[in-house]
Amino acid sequence: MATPPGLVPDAPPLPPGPPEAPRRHVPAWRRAAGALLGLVLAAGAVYVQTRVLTADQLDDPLTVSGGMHDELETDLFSARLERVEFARSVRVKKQFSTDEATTEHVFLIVKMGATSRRKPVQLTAHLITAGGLSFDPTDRVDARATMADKWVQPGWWRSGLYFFEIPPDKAAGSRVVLSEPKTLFGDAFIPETSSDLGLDEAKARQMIDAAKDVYEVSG
Amino acid sequence: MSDQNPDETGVFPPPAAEPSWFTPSKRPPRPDARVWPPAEAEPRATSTVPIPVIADRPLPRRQAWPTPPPGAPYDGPPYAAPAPAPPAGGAPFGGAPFGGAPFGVPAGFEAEHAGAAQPARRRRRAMPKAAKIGLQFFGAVALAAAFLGVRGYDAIHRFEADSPPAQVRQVAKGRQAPLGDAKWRLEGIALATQQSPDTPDRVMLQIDLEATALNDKAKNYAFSPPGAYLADKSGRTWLALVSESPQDLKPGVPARFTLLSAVPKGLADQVELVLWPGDYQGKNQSGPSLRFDR
Repeated sequence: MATPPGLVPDAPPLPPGPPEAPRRHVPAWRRAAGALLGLVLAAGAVYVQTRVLTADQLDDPLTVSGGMHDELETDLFSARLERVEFARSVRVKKQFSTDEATTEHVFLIVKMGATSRRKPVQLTAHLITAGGLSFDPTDRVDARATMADKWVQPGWWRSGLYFFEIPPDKAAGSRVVLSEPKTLFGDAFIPETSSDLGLDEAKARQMIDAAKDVYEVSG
Repeated sequence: MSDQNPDETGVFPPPAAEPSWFTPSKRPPRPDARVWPPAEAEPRATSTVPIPVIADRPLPRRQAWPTPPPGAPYDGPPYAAPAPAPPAGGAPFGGAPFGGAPFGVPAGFEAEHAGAAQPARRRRRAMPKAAKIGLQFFGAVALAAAFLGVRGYDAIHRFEADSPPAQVRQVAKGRQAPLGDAKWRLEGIALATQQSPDTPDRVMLQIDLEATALNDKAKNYAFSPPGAYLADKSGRTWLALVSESPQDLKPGVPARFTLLSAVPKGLADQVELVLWPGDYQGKNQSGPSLRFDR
């Protein structure tokens, strides 16, 4: 578009900037060292990003680990693994009836003892196998016969059973994890105890071969 | 369209005697017209818009911009120019537009700032390197601390909004205090008649609690009793479960709850009853509660 001359003036030539300082001579080895340092810092920054915890990991409970008969203390409760057994079926004797739970796999029966620090708690368990599979307690056995239904209170230890139904080849290297049930709006950082069952391949196979046909509990 | 005649459109054509607007007809051929190259512009004399005469006389000289002395830092008002002499004649588009000063710069502006640009700008002394690095470091630390502080404050605020802190009200012995929909009075804590021989380290306590309903909603306590705990001085609590609850709670009529609780043997005469309006509040230990002296 042609504008009438005099309406929009052309920009004048920019005045020359401040005179440049004479370049300092930097030895080549310092340039190389600076470049190397920059590379190392950048690589370090990238590496640190790989260590950032995911959202799931940030929500992870605070775990105390141990083995058989170890007393695992958390801020909320203490727990210890007392016994591990296997059974082909579980018979729950109630006041007026008897429930029989059978499985095509095997029942892993864990006896846990627990006491609380300050307030009554109910503890849920899950089993984590060596391959990272997680098993909840079986629902074939009435929860009232298990530890999950019992109140753990401060001042004394209370023992109870957790029943897991697992394939026989998954027993080796598994551990049982106890925690307060996580609620939606409850404490985000709940403590948990992780007890290693101390089963290697040979011991697990031997114990499963020697599993009881019927395991009786009252509930 | 029908099965018999696929060409039928379903629209009845108008009778041939009365052609209608949608009856296609032959268009008359248009005469050729020149479209390109476009026709000559209108001669200037026919325009109704007054066009300033520009080319008929020599163009006014363009204003010269001041060039700063080489080496001086470029500073001060941009494009400040001395006011040009208004061209004689006052032709509409002839001279500098909008009067003397160029482009909205007030006339006095250049005069004021012309001097300011000239002397060398006051150069600040460079900050010592250690001070600079220290300042950056402490700035980073302060910003990180502020960030973490804000996040922590937010988390605490949200936690307190979700579970309000416990407001425990101490109730003197034998007195009544309102909580929820009823007034509560502790009648007494005594050893229960049944003690388990298997657990010699703990005793079973029986708690008698009197409730006087304040309104109709209190009848819910008959089937969902308040959260009751026995607490010792160090803050440990034990469940107190309702063994007997009244059939009905009518406003103004006292009713009696009987609770059972197991506590360690040594604490049997020290534990105090803590009452929460509901099971959930008792579990979370949040909100208002009563603590009865013994």
